[in-house]
Amino acid sequence: MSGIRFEGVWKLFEGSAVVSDLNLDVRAGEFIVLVGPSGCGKTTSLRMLAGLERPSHGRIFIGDRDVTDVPTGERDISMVFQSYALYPNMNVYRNLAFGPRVRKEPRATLDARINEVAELLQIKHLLKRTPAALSGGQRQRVALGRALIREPQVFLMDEPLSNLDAALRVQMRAELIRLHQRLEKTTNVYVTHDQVEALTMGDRVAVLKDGVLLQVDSANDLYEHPSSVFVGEFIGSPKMNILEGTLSFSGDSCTVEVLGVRADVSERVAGRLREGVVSGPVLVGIRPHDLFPATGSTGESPAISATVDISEHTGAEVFATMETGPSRVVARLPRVPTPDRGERVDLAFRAGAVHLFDRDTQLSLLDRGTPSRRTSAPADISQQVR
Amino acid sequence: MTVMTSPEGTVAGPDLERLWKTRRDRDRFQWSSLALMTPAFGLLIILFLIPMGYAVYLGLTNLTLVGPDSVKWGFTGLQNLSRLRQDSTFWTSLWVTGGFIGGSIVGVLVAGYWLASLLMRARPWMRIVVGGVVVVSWMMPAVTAGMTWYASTTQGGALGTLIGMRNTNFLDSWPLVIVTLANIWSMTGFSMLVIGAALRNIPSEAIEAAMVENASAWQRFRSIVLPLLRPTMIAVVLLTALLSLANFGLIYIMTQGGPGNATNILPLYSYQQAFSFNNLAYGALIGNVMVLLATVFGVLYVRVAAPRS
Repeated sequence: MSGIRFEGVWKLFEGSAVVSDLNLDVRAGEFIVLVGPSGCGKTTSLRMLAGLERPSHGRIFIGDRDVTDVPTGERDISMVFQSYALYPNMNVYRNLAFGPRVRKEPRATLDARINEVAELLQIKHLLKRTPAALSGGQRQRVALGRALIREPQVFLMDEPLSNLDAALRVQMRAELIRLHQRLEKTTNVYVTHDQVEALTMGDRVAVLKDGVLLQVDSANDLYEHPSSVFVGEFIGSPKMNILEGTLSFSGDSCTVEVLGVRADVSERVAGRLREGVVSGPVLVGIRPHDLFPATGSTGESPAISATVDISEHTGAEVFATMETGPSRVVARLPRVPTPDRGERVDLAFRAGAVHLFDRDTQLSLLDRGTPSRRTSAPADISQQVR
Repeated sequence: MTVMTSPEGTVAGPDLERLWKTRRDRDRFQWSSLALMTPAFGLLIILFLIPMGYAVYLGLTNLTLVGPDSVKWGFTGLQNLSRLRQDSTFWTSLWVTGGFIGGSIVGVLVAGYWLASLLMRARPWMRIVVGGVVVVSWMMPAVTAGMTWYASTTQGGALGTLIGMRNTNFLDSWPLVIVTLANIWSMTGFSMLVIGAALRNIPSEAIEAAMVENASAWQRFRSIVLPLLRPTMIAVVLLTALLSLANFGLIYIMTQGGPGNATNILPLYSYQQAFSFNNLAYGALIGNVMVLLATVFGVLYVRVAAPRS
């Protein structure tokens, strides 16, 4: 069992930093997902861990061993590439057997192990075929099998599902999770640009942007406590509404003025407000799930009058882009009756679910604080990861 | 040829029949297409097949360039063949040809792969400059290449000056080696281009995957690069063989087949017999042997290069 540690790792390409000062601790046996938009440095970080790129500065550890200068083949890792990288000139059996053979592992047990892995991945009937004769999903399984044969300390996956169609992707996602549960001793590092994949699969998720690690947290914490506007918008679909607002304190109560209404957020900020936050303009984040037709119940903001512009049916719910005053927001509307374009709807948001960000630094003004009292959060997550 | 009709037992009718004919997967051969191919066939027959047949016939006659047999000549059956069998110069020439082609193949392959893999890692401007120079050497007429190599490898030439052996005549001391080197030099550009293109087609992630598996550089080359380059390499081998066999000009300029018969490859010997010794018929017979050799290479080339079904 070994964890992984990045210590102040930088990677420069032609003078610009692709990865800046990456510090990340991955616990042994953990499934961590690196997620971010393309060009955020997630694949470069993975390749540095694999030894396919050398960091410009900093050290990388696998377990207690400093592997920064260890050749890739001696790091005891397995990697699944985005393109699968099967050896085109070998059939499936030889693809699986290649690693053990070059490492001169005993031949006697090889057959049995290949059969075992092939059975696990349901590719036993394909052993004699060449990669060219396989479908995308089958190639993906072979690539996975080739990585599994090694029984490595660390299992690296670089967008392994991105070349599959949607249905197969969901199926393979579930299989990867099951696989990880079986191989609980292996540490997994998984790179994806798909936040849904990240939230479903990772024990923890690391969000990167422009080579900077923004936040590492469990899926739930990432969703509930985004540390910055970027994370708030990147995690969750449809993405969080970010609006200009004003925060004001008077006595014990704290209110935020946004979308033309003033809502009491005392309970939300109690004990969680970062030091030095004073009254004034802020950025207010409201998730579409927390913005819905007003019902007048407690905990809701006063009603906001809005007009439906475009509504999008996602199956379980309807999300609509609405116009209210100068702002456009995305809100959750009932499925029946489906709101028409131009229809007026009174919206309200859940005051206990607003996110507050600094206008200049875009960082969250709220600490994680005591565990949230919201009870409906897990339901929201489950909708995210449909 | 045949238009498929609807399978029996299905609802047949004129409409269905017509629909069936619009299917794009039906056999679309039409006899009229033969007419369109006639000019090409005609040219092939007039310019290739008839002269070939005539050359085969000539090889079995006693035609000479001058003398009585140049006027009154005729079919002599297998006489020339038995002469060929006992002609030690012919057998020497065959060996020399084999050495020349074999050496060229090895050299062209190794040098081409070496240059191509070096250029893969080179900076773009370097790739353009080196690639350009090498291609120029390939485009250079055999006469120019031959003159250049002749001048550089004889006594007082560039090669001797460079390695401090000004008084050695390399071309005289190792004639077959030098002409083979010259041939390799002139054909490496082509093999570098072809092998370079094939190298760029090898997925880099497959190589990286092998690195992750702890395969050594040699194992990666042996198990992945080489098998993927195989079809390209075979094509290079066969094309080198064919082009070397036809590279009359280079050797004629450099040594004219000498000294002795040291570089006397078949095309030179054929020319020698036909036009120096005036034995037109015998020269044609040696030419036919070359045609046979070339056919073997050609058939192999077509088989390897043809897409597999």
